[in-house]
Amino acid sequence: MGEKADVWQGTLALMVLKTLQMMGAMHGYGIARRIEQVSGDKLLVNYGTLYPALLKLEQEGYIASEWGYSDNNRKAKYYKLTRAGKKQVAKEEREWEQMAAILARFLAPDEGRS
Amino acid sequence: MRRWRAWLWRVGALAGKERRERELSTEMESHLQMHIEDSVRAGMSPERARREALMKLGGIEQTKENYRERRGLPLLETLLQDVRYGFRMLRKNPGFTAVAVITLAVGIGANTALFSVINAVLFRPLPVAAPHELLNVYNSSPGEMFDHIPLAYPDYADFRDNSNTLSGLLGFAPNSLALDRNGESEMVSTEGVTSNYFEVLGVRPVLGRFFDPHHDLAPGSYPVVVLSYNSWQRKFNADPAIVGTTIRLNGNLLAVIGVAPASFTGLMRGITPAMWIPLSMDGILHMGDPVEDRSSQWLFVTGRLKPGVSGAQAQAELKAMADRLAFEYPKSNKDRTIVTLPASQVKIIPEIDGPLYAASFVLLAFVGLILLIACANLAGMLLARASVRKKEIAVRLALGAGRSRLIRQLLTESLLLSLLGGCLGLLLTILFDQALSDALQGLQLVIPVQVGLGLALDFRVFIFTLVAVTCATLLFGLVPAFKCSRLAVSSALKEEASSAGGSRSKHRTLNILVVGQVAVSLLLLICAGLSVRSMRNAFRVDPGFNPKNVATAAFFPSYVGMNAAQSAAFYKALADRVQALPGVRSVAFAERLPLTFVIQVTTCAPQGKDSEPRQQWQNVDRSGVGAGYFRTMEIPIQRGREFTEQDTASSPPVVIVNQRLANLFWPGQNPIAQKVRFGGDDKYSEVVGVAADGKYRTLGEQSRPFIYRPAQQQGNPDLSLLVRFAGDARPVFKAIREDSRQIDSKVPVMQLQSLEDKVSVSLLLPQIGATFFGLLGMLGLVLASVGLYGVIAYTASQRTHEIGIRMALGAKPLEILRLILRQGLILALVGVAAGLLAALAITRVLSTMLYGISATDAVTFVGISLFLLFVALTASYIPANRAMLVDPMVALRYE
Repeated sequence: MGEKADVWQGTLALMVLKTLQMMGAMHGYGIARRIEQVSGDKLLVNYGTLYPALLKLEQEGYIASEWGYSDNNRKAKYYKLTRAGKKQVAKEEREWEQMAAILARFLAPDEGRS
Repeated sequence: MRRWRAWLWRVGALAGKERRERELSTEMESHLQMHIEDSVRAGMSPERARREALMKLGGIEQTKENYRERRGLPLLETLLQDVRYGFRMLRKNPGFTAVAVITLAVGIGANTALFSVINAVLFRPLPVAAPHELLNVYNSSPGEMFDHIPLAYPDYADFRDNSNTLSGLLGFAPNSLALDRNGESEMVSTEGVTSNYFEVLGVRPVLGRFFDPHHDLAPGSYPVVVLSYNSWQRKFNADPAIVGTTIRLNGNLLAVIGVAPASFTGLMRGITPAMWIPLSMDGILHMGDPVEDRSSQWLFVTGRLKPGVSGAQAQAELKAMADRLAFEYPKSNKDRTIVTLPASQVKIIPEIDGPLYAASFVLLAFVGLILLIACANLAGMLLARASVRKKEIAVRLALGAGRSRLIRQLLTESLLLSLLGGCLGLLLTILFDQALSDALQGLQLVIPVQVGLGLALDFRVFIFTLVAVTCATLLFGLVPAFKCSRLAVSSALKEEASSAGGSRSKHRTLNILVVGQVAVSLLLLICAGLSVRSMRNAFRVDPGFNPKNVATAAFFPSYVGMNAAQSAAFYKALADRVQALPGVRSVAFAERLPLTFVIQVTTCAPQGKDSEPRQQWQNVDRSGVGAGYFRTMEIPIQRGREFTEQDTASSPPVVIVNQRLANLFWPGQNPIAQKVRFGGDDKYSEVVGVAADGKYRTLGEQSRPFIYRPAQQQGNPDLSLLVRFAGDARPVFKAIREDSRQIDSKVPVMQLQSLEDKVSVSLLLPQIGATFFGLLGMLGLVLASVGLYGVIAYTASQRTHEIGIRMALGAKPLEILRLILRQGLILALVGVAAGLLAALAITRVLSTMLYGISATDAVTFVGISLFLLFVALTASYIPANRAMLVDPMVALRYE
């Protein structure tokens, strides 16, 4: 199956939030599948990292949970973004883009500076 | 902000744990199922799908554990878990728990009890409003014996009226008065106070009201009194209608206007007046304080700083005022300056405070030794139990418990034991405090102070107990916890028997503990032995007079305004009447009785040397005594004669000196007919007799010069009556009381006691020392013997297998006995040796308290050592005996 890297801690939270923003309310398994999908199957999400991360986000108030039933009528806990969560996603997106831009300047070859 | 929210969430999650557990399980289970379903749909077989799902998604239990750690407050939860587990363990072993808790209670309780006393005297703040604003004001003059002297009243009034830095200045003076109740006179210790006393201090009455602060300005009749809470309870039965009633003090009626709160006992720690009287009543009650005299310094003064003013500013202002007074009144106030100290710093007077602190810490150190022994005991017990719990610990280690988690859990158990012991110790302290208060209440001292400590458990005592508990836990819990958790898991699980050899090195820690206990116990016992012998010596010291069969009574005609000349007739009439009683051998009067802590020191010089400056004159203790004094006290007159009825105020001044003074002033000559002069006098007195030396101040003192004057020439109207009698004392006391009332009922008669009782006050210090160290020694001995017994019993039981082998190989029971006994003996010997070294170094601390015995007295050291060895042998004998009786077959099979 090729080498899959373990998802980095800090970024997992952002990925979860972004996923919920794009897809609406989802259960834990769905979030995990979706992240793996979007990463092109290059990331490995396991229980150990996902559920504690979900709990932390819930404690901080960015997501809210609710019991519901899945497509196959399986009882599952659904998570959805709260208003604070929406703001947090936007904020972190901006920060990442800023960071990526700065880094790009360092890593890209000099353009027209001589 | 988010972090706080998360924390709050976690605290909230402590409740409803079970429900959340179930939810988590459900959630993870459904996650797993969904994954498997997807895999199956993609074409995998169900078993493979399940395996792969499980592998991919990581360990379930591990995840759950991570989740739990994030969800709740793991530290708190494990703590609660440990506590519950600890309680269960303690309940399972009630015997062990009981012994441990009692041992700790004794160790912690002894320390807490002593600390509660020290706290009452040294640490508790004054029970007044804003005590940090109060400043004690003292006079100071060069050349005086003390650096902090009370003030003269006119000086105080000047300061009070003119100070800009102090919002109020109060004065008080300890005193004693005769309280008449039910026809009997009782001496009560009181304080004469300025009428703004309670107002400046900010104390509120618990009944009635306090003095009107404006009364001070005109000394005149203000016949009111405020009772202390204690005296209201004990002397007046806590009568709720006490306000408004009158009491008779020194023959005068005063109205009770209020009762002070229970926590307020005056400004001097440890000394509790029974009531407060306005100073303006001084003249009427004959309290003897010269209110108008600027050269007489007797008033203790305390002031309250105005807001924003510092102590230094106030001192500077008062100093300037004092300088002005020195200029205005050169005769009385020359060289007199002001020294101030914050009131919270001074406990009684600054000169006594230093030694008080030092003595307190020394005492605490000694009592701390008891706690050390108790902790050593407990550490030994825990180590012994550790081997019993080996399996349990091994299983937990195997299940993945971290070592630190294990140590935390073991320490929690130790903490529980300490807390239980601490609570029991606090109870013991309460009992002790009650007993001590009662004992102090009944203490009749000749000097007019009532010792009262106002013992109560305040938060300082609680904190001290907590500190003691924590220290104890760490002391006895840490080492066993560490050792416990270091077990080799595999060997413990396999139940390998302890090897037959090497038992000595395995129990090294236990041995060291026991040796330490024995050493400390020896130290305490030696201190006890020294104190007891010192006390016996003190009792056997010859005081120079015969205190047996002498009744005494103290009279205070000055309290009703009589002077020496007026009281002379009273005393003569009384002496005649008492002399006529059957059984009375002789009667005499004296101003001061020896060994009762009341002394008067004066300077005097023999004729011929009296032209030298006063500083070089001899300091001599002095007392005025009446005719027949020496005969009544059975003090031998070695040369010359006694005083007689002819030695009156108008006859030529005479003195009697003791042998030591005679040798000092006229070595080798006949002192009779020589002349002496007292400092401040210009007349000469002639020596008419030489008395044998005796003890005057304390039983342990060196030979001291003493001079006697006829009581009438001394001029003090307040004298004590001495009656030497044969037979029953009660009719003598009854007659004294009745006769004195018949002659003049106004004169207060108090302190009817046998001379032996009066003098026994000087034995108080050695008695207290002997009791204190005796108790400590006994406690230490009991704890150490129990510890030694425990260790020997334990190690003997560990060696059961070895004993079985020895017996099977032909060892006789007696040899087994000797084997075990030898172990105990070696431990005890090493402990005794260590203890002797420690004692040699430490007992010199006590040398100031010892009478007639050196701090390194060989007999005591050797004797106590042998005693302790004997006890140790006995403690070892019991388990040795049991070991000896073991059946070899059983022992061999024992593992």
